[in-house]
Amino acid sequence: MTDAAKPLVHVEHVMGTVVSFDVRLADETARAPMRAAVADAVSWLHRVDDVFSTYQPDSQVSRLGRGELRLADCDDDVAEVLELCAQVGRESAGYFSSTFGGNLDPTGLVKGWAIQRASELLSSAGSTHHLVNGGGDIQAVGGNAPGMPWQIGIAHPLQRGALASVVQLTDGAVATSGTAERGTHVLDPFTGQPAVALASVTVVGLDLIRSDAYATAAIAMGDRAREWVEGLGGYEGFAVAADGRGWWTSGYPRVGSIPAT
Amino acid sequence: MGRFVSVLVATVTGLVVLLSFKTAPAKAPHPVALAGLVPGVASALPESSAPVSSAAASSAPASSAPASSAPVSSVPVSSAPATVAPSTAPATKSSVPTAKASPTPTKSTAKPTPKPTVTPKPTPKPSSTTKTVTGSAVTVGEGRRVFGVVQVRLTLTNGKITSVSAVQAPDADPHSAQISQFSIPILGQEVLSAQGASINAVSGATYTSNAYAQSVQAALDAAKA
Repeated sequence: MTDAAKPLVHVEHVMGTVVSFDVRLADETARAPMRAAVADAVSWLHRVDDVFSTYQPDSQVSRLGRGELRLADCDDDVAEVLELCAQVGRESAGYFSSTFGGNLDPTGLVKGWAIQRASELLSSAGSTHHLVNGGGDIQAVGGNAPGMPWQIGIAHPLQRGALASVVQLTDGAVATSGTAERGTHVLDPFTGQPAVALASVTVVGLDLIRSDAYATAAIAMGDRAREWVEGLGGYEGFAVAADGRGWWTSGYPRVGSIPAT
Repeated sequence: MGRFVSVLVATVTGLVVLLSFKTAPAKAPHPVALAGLVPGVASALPESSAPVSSAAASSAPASSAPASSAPVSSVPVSSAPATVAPSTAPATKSSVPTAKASPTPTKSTAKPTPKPTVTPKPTPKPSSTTKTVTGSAVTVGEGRRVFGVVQVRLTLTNGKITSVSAVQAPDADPHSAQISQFSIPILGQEVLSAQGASINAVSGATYTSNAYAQSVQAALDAAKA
């Protein structure tokens, strides 16, 4: 990135949140094709929203949930996401669930899946250095320049605008879940009660689909999450409990900063 | 905490991030990829930020050695004053305060030996110019409730932010006064500088479209665009 082109930055309101694209360009000739690739990725995200939104009563997922549509009549993506939900549900001993309040709601997985796919679309179009941030869940590719990892701040859950850690990542995903996301609490599926022990959990891994879903499952687990996240191969975690104390997995210091004391 | 406070904090942080973008272009190449964050950072930083880097570097192996037990930060509620960014001391030079706001390090990652893997050369810059900028005081509140006044002081050394501290912080509301006493410290700008880092993005619990406008990510996007 010597005389480099300015990054291609795009911000899109979609899926009830904001998705930020940061595409690093080798030179100006890459701008037009990458702009087209970002446009494709944005179209894809809107299509995901139309299919999966639980806020849109006529989305496929809403109709599927009401029994008005069979799974076989939905896009193949729906079956794929529901299968992923089932897998993560098993991997998390049931703490990750694709229902909310008794209704079909794969929202907890869809966003991570969609952002990861959007990143893959950019890679397919030739991008070697980009980052996609969907409402705080990030898929990063190639560092921000050759040999330069992305610097990803972890929001401090107890003070908005402040950071609690910084993750350095060349290729991979960072996902953070919190006690209260978008106004709705994460529920412990076994008690039905809001999970309140942890203010936020960040999971770092290679793929955003599982990093994001695991972070959500960890919130639901509460006090049991630490041991579970520690046992996840290929994923590291950093958490801030509701009382402000923190914990992190033994491998987390290799990817993220920890408090100095 | 009121929304207004959050806005302010976000704005202040955003400003800081923006400034750091302008003043501290990530110059030191980071030789590390996924692994070896801290040592890589330390070695990539020829400047005077060795204390924090080396402390972190020495604690990293300590914490990862007993692979079974993840360390817990058990810094108790400390006597930190209510600050927006709890870099307590009025740091006027560029060397970085290691332990912030925690006079009682109970356990956690006990520093083994002061012999980090990386050369801990403090090398104080011979001709460093330090400048302190104090922002204007801003009243913080929500609706008609006024929590207090916030005023932020930045210290710049050779044009790079080395410290952020609150000159005044709201204390009218006990809740807002408590917030900086939580155990996971809020990273001050000196830590960010020690990372040689301009933050590229922020991971956090899902924000709504409205919350995005007040987020650090928004400030980052604006700075890059």
